[in-house]
Amino acid sequence: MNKKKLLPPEDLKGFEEFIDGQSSDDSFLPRGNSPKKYLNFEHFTFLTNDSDRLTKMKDLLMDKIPFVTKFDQGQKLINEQLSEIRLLKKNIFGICNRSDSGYRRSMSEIFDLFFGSPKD
Amino acid sequence: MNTSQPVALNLKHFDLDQQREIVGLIENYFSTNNHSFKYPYPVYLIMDQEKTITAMPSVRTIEELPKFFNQKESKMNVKESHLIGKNKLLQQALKNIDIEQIHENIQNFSIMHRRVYELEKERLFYRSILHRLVKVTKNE
Repeated sequence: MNKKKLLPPEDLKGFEEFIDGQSSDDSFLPRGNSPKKYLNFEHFTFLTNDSDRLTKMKDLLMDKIPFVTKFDQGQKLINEQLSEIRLLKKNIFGICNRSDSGYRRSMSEIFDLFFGSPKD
Repeated sequence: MNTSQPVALNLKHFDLDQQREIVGLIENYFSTNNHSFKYPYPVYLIMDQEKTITAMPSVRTIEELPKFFNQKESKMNVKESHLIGKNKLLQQALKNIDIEQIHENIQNFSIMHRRVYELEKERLFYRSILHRLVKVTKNE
């Protein structure tokens, strides 16, 4: 804006249209409308996202779920967990059931406290 | 109904009692015709009733609907037409699935996984007890 004022008008002869940024000549192609381009891009993104969503849904409903149903691992996992729980319980009981175990000592202390020790 | 686009049914023009009845009728329609209100696009209800009266997704006002429902109309270009064609094929494929069977499978899968989770919690609990007992026994 300031440059335009500083330069003498005769030096700018022939460049007025470029400085204004838009040609008034009909032979020039019109400039693109940026809001319209943005809108188109928005729709394309929307459709792409929808396509991705539908593809994922199709994979889930038509491939993954039937596969998981056909080769179900759930019952095997449950059986393994149950057997491990049984083993852990057995080990815990084995340790607690020893005559010198902390559990027995604690229980005898409680009983002695309430009912008196056998020596008394 | 919801095979090619998301659907929102506006029940705001009816009384509260009527809304409840209509929700029941809509649910019956989906269950008797073995259609899903979830796939491929959700069916939303716009109503004043509480969300808990139905398994279908519901909102109180049109503005609360997901963005998906508020799209501007415009002329499509070649790329977009191509994508629409692809999406239509996917929609058709999804239309042919047995919804009842899929629901049953998902239900069974979730029940099984809940059981696995509960057992895993129990297993970790016993394991931590055993570790502590072994530690104490070693220290004595």
